[in-house]
Amino acid sequence: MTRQEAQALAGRILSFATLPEVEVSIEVARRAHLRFARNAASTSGVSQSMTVRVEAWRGKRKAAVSAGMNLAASDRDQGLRELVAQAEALAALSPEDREYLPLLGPQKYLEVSAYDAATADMPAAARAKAVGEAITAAQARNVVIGGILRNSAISQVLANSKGLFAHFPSTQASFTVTARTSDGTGSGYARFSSGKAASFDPREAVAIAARKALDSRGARELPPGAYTTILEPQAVADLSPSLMFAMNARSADEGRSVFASTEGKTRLGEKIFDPRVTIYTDPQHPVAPAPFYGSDGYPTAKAYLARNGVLENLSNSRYWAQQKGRPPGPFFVNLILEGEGQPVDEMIASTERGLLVTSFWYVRGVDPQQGLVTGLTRDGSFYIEKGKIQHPVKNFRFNESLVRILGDVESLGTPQRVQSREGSNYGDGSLAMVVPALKVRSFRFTSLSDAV
Amino acid sequence: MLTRRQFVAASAAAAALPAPAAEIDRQKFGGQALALAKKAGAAYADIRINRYRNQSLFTREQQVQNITSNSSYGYGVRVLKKGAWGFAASPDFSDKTLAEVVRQAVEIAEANSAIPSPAVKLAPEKPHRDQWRSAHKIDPFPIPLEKKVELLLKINQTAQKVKGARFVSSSMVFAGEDKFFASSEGSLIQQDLLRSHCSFSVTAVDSSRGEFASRESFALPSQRGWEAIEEYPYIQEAEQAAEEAVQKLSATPVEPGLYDLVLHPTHLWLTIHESCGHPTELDRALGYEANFAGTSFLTPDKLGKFRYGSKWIHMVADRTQEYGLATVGYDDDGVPSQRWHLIRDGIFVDYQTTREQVAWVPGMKSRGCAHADSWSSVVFQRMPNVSLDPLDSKLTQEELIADIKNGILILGDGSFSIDQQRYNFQFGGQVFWAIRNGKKAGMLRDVAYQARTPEFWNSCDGVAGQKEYLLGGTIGDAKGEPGQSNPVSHGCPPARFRQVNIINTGRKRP
Repeated sequence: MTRQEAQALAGRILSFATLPEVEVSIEVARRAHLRFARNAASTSGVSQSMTVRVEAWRGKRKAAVSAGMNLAASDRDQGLRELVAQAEALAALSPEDREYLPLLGPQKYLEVSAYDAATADMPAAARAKAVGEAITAAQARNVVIGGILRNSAISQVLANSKGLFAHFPSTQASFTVTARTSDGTGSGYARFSSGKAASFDPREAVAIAARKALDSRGARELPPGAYTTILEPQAVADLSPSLMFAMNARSADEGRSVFASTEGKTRLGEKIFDPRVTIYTDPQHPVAPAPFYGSDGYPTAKAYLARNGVLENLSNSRYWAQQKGRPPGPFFVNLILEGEGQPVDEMIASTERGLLVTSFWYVRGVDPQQGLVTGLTRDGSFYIEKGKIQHPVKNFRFNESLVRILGDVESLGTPQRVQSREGSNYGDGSLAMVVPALKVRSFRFTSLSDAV
Repeated sequence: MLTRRQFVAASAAAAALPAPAAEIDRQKFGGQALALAKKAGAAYADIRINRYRNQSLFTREQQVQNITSNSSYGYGVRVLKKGAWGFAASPDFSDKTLAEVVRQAVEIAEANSAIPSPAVKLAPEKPHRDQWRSAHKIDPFPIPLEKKVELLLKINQTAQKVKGARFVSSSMVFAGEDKFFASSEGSLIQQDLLRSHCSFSVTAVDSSRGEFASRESFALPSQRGWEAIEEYPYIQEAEQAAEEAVQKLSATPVEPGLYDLVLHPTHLWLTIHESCGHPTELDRALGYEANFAGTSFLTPDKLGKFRYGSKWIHMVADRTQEYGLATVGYDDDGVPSQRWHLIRDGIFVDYQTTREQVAWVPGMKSRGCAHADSWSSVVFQRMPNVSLDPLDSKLTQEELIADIKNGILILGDGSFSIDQQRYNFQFGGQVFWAIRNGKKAGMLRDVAYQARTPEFWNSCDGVAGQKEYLLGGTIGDAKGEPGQSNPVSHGCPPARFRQVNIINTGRKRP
């Protein structure tokens, strides 16, 4: 959908409104995928979807209605008119919203380019060819692969009756692969994702995953406990959602967050992390372009959450910002953690005794007071002694806090674009991250897992 | 045949409903799709024409945060050609788009057939022409919003009256599915399902110490209507939950070590889900989910031999169970719902399967576990209701507790995590009571247990009887790539487990 088409459609929908405050969001998407497993194709498909969401305010009463629509239909106007009427009628039945804020008017947005036509239009034969080549590459390395190739094109539109209009077309492509040795004793993972399908070669991902699978055969048991640990960027990304969740101003102000202090105060301004830790979000980041608007259409911009180890900001919704007399945001549209460029090889070489962890799995919150999460290592963990990888190790369960380990950093690598392994499976909207490998002095593993 | 979504007039009464689309002639439209697929050379084809309705309400303290209604109507066409699957979907019911959707599905199957792969073979299934409806009494969608909001705010108000309970949030979620399935083998199946869930969470804060604790409701979702909300004692539980949240702040931190556990059904359902429901999925066991959800320690060579649990453990898969979230008349392959054992007398005896999976392992039967979460999603194997059958046990929770010197009673589901082969797990909970010399003692905090699946289930030495059986579950079990959501129930009575490893999750704040 072009900007002009989006403007015309949003304007048409808003023209059906009888209330002074109505907001419309539209998503037009084409999503395609091809899965593979056991070195063969499995399921695949393509779907078109068009969703229109209308939120209406009758004074301070609000309600939202959304529906999958057929925007191609010649008589779609009747459906759209009725959708608006439904939202308006539902608003009349809703109680007053005590956190009501007037709609935003027109906003100035940053320029973000995130659309690639070749990725949007990738044909079924191209997906099949890429997956076929990946399987051939796996067979040549004597590993069994499973994974998925996805491409999508999504146009998001936000407009309201006060004149706000935002249109964000984007494309996404990703190839994720798990390679396992045929005897099931080794497993490795790799993921490439980008706004452009042409920017990666699935065969390279297979090579990385296969190497990890072959290297992780014959894993030995190590006792659970605290180890100096090198986390590859994927492992850092797998832990990061808990940090973003905790960086919410309201929960800190309300005393229910790792960033809350006593007597209603927060830890803003405290040096919580290592001085080399700087965290920000930036819609114009060159390798992770992201929406230029956040909640309610408020513009996003580069903003620091932590700088030089000091907690500098927490994310404020528009309502909470108004309550506290602060500017709204920052809205996480991506997560950038700066690095210092130390190669992982050097991190290993400087380690007397420790572990290299390549990814984590099933990471879940345990205690929000500490930012504590539990989870397991997966697809390749290795024991390091005297500056060298000695052997693969069996997987561990851990109970650890990213907030704590960011205060215990020994060195940082070069940031890479990654996504959390679990979050990235739920649609193209999952947050892109650009994070480095981290070497932390102490990481706590609590039990062993037999899983490979 | 209509070519657009058409909504009912927005009267005040209808406004509480998600915008419903006027019905097309599904049988006729389905017939057209199947004829087009056949003409394009498909050896097998099916079409699902589905409408979904959702309504959700979210509140916190004395304010309504959000009320939304969603609806979605469209179709997905699946074809088998040259031994490979193809699938395409659209919300546009025009002739032109239908032809394009079928063309895309066939194009995908042909493209994929170029990748050397074993040909897909479907287990035989006779055609079914039937209608099925879930066991709900009251459709929750037309219930006035005021009534729903009133209950949520009353829950919040009741909890907030308890001294120290600072924050309360509550929500209601309703889902309706109206599903039509037609296959090239002659099946025509219409099904209507409803799900309801109302829940809340209370947080107590001790600002002088900068500490907080939450207690979530024990109310769990079910395939029922508004009657499920009316029958549950929310107000009574709100007060109790608030008191327990406050009590958690001063509860005794657990001493790590080995304890005997009694796990209440409000908690145990999740342990069953993760450590029995997922590892008995055949696609996982064979590596089809290796890249995301993972594989399984329950490999086919263990069928009929492996001691999964003690003699008390009988795990039944059941898509016919009344109120079960995964209960259906027929699955998305058109196979009738069934009840069968996964674990019998502690031994692993069977898997969850679909028609396609029968050819993968000798001796398998299609168990009717095919599911897609939308008309636009690809069908694959999903979990049926999996429950711990107490058989004729006459034990009670009280008796289970009476035989424990040093143990813990756990209620409610909390933090959960399990490895990709379903061996090592860690579960928290909502409320933890110490058990001393056969009696419930004081409240504990910071409790989680870590165990290895077969050792855990083999440590079970007592399951209470049917009288204390409860059906828990989730409306959002995730699996597959792209991820899909599946509602599923797990029933059980309280059960006792001996000498399980307890860790203390409390630490100094970083």
